[in-house]
Amino acid sequence: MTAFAPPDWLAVFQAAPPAVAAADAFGAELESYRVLLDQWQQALGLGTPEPARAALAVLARHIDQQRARHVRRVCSPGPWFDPLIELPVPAVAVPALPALPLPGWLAAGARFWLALADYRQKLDAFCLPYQRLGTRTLGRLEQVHPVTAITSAAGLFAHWQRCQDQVESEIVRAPSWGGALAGVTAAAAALRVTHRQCLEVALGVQLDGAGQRALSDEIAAVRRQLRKLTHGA
Amino acid sequence: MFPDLDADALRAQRKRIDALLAAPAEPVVWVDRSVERLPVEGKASLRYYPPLREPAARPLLLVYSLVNSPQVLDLDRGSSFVECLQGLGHPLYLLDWGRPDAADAGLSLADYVCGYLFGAVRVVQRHAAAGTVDVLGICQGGTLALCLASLEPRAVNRLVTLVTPVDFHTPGDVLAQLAAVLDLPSLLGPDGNLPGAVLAAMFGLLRPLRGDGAARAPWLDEAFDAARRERLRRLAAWQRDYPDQAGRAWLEFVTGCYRDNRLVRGALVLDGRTVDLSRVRLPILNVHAWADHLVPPAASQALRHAVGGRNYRELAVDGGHVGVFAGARGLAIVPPAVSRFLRASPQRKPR
Repeated sequence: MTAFAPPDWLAVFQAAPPAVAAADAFGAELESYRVLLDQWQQALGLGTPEPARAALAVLARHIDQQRARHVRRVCSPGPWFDPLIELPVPAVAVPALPALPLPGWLAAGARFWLALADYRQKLDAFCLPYQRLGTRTLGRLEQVHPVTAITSAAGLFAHWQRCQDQVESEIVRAPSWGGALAGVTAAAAALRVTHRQCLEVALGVQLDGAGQRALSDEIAAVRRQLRKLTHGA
Repeated sequence: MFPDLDADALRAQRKRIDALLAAPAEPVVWVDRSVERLPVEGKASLRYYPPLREPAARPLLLVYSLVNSPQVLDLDRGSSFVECLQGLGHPLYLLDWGRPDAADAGLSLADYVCGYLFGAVRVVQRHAAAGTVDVLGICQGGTLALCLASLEPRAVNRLVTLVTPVDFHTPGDVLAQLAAVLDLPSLLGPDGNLPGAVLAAMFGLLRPLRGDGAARAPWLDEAFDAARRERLRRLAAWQRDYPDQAGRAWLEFVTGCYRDNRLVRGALVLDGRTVDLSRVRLPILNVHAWADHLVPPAASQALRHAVGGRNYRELAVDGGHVGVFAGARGLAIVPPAVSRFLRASPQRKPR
């Protein structure tokens, strides 16, 4: 990275959403499995009737809490925005920005705030169907009987995962899901743009990249011309 | 339904889980096991993998999607699509599209098909001193290979398509539903490309609860062995790696295919020429996965009708999208079937 190359700074400030470490990727599921095993053992120790069912009930509550946060994180438009996802932004309708003669930094800041509020609303709307996921999975599990008999803890957890997949699949196939996703994606994109504009005001540089895009178009046009010549030859 | 287990059995499982979670997560190191890199055009290049046994078959060009790295085809020793086909005697050329940067934002879909892909075929022909080349396209790579087969009928001898979308408007195609409602240009970055991070988030949101698809329970039951764990770890690392997409080509692909379904309607135009699948006469093996959440089987199977059913064979594999070319079941079934198809089909008469 060079100190005076705005695109490099932009890349830093608008870095990709946080890559999940491999251990974390395994960890989310393994953690759920660990909860199941621990609660199962505990229920056995307490002499609870149907200890596996009792453990699954606790797992359902765990998933209810943990997965809702997980879905919100997946929606994050970048690591710099993660704290903003948890901020208690009031859920108010976003008004149009009044055309006041605000100084540049204030106008950029106001646009950013409005974009953030809009993003939060869209995020809440998108996450709504994912609420009480564990409880719904448990309900599904009690209705659906496995094809083969379950003989191990991992087998029971596999059945749990299949039921969770079914619930997730139904969420994705609901008619409103695409619109909600489009909403949150567009709002995230708008948030990134307003964030960039804030940076432009703060740094006093143009980060739009229009010149770079024009150059790229020219290179591609030359490439096409060359191809035509080669193809014709 | 609930198993009757004692505390000792549960404790033993718990110990194994603890050991897995405590294991240090070292970064995945990718090894390029090709013996030669052949430049094609721009950032595109070919990785050459020689056959591991005789008699050698015709050269086979592997075309992966633009969306992820082609490294998934050579994940690790013992779980590698490339290695399986090498072992069956196929000289392989894996097309690496390269990672687009700001200079590539203006690349079009035609640049990829008529430029990079057709160029790759010619490089293979020269390198292998072969008059004809077989092509195996995967997912979007299969779609691009079909476009080439239509526009340049003499470029491809036989074609294998794996989990390849052809009809983008079949029921349950969540990507098409998504493409219909997204404001596509707003997703592009300041450099004109689609940031890989945005793509990763979109694919992640299709299955947010499964995360990276990582620790599925069947794996928990039997995969405490290091080899399987390592394969899964590499797969997870690959799944998180989305290169930026050349903005113009991405917009053209999503608009032309996912929104307007022009490929199957015979209305996709590249370089001023119409892609007409009904003109494709070469032998085709079309492989799809029953549980594919990205490309529904019907989206792939539409190829039969599109090419008029001539010289067309189909193979359905149990499992999901990635499992066809990177899962244990897929690797056991698909490479041998591909090899049989490529070796058994009669070669077309040269025109």
